[in-house]
Amino acid sequence: MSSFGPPPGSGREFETQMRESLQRHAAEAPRVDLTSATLRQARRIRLRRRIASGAAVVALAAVGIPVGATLLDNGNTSNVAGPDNTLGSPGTSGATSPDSTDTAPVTDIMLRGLPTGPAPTVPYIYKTALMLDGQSTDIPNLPADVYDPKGTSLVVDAAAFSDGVAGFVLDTRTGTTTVATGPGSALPGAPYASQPAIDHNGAVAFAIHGVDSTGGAGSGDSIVYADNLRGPTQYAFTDQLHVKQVMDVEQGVAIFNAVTAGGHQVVGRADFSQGSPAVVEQPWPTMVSVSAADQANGLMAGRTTDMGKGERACSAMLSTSDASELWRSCAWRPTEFSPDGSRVFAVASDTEGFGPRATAILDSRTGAVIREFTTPGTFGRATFEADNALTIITIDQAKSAIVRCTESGRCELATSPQPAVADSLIAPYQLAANP
Amino acid sequence: MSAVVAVPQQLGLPAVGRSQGLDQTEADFVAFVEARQHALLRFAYLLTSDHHTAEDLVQTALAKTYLTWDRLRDRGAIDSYVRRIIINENTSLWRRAWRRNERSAEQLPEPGVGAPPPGADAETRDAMWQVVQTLPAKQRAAVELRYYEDLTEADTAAVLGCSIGNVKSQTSRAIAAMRASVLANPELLGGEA
Repeated sequence: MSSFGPPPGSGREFETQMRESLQRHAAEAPRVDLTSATLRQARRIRLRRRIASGAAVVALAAVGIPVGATLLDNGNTSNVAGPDNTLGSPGTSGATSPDSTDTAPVTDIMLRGLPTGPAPTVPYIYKTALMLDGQSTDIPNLPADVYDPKGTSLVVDAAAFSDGVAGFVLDTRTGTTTVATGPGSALPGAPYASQPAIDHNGAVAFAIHGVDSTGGAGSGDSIVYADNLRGPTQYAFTDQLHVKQVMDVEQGVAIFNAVTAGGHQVVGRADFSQGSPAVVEQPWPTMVSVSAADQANGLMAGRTTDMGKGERACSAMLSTSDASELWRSCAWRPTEFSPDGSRVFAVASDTEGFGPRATAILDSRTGAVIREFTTPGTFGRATFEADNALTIITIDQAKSAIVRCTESGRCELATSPQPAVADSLIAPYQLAANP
Repeated sequence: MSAVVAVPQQLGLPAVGRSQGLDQTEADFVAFVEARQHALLRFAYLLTSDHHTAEDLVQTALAKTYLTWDRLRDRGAIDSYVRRIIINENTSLWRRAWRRNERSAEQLPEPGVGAPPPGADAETRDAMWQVVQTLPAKQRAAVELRYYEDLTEADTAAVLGCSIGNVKSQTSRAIAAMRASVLANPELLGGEA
């Protein structure tokens, strides 16, 4: 039968049904206000173009001039400069409120031309090697085939380390595996498990998703908690709750994202500190999900029940004590707190569909944007190295590197740029989440 | 519905509100965005079937439009200009193989997104919609411009940046492919082949 054969019924009827179908589905389109996000994105593109054209002029006019020179200094923009070994003290001068249309201080990061600084002081993975203090060490319990340099299917997906304890998620040929180890409490690999959270004392917690007979996700989720004193403890949930990820653990108390059998997102707390079984509760009924939590400093960021569909991109910073809202942003989504809790790293809510190209350090108490970072490439995970400095995976022009940036806007290479695996988001580096 | 859309002031829409405090260029642009973004979101959603991708496409297209706002002499054709960027961006997305890689996310999708409206004949509607979604990107864009936006072949050609003949062939192939799908699965329309 030819594909140009006669239609079923009249052509007019077919076209009418098609029109009606399109009209119905168009009514389901998102109804959000993109005005502010559009202006911010346009300004970022314009800034990037200015920097690029400035770089070209400098390169043509003054070959040999050290690249670390400031290329564009309008008071708001500082490009890369030399190594900043004397990290400035935290300050908020020039900071703007999270959703302000005012231009916050911006640093545009391009790997090419960045000066080289010391290796990260936070743990990271380079291919199959766990790097601690700039030295490689074997990853405990790492399966031999965990990383495929050809990039076909295997990669370390995420990692967290503290005090000799390592936990990470592996995408293997047979599925996803979480491995968590620690002195005296090595845990076996757990399939269908989420990224682990680790506290300052090396305790680790992660979620294991139940599986059905076909190997797909099913009922019977649990949270595993382990510390140096008691070894692993597992809390099993009924099939009424699907645990998505443990977002933070501190002093034996884990905060996790979950979804109920009815499809409602909830945030739960599992207290393993009083022994087994853990005490599990939902202390923040107005919380829908958590993107970052710092129980030590009483802060958590996430979405709340009073955010409508039009606020899909919004996040709020709340107190863990009473879920009172400190501030709300529809431009930034917090993902990591600084060690002292005074700063929070956030990624732009509008990712342009290509992964985050804009990130920022915010004042965690006020939401003020202290420093914005942009790149023509893509950012990966970031971890605070100090209260006013972070390391961030940056992928630019098919190369990936860990870049150290201070909140004053100084950036340098903490690792050498390595080829990112072509045609994928897989990068040779994976940065640990610091507790 | 026409691809030729006047700027908001010409439509009698307010150019104030959140535009206050902006310079004239930004005020004009903000007024345009506020007036047209939902129509553009509907168009992008039909192209992508995905809320987030549609929002990203429209936002990127509008941002690029803003950067050339002062150079756009024919303000009456801005809508077509933005739609063309949306189509090109969508095509670029499909050319990036990694874009199709599934990634885990901390945020769960909101319940109810994409759910059929109450009272709709969900089965038939979804069946036709499934057929539309199988079309190649350019054919799908041509179909939506012709049958959703009700553009003429000439206006469709202007948006797609191709000839009228190319619009005819793209549309014809799309319709033929859709009919072939229906012939192979007559239950899609609830009729007989």
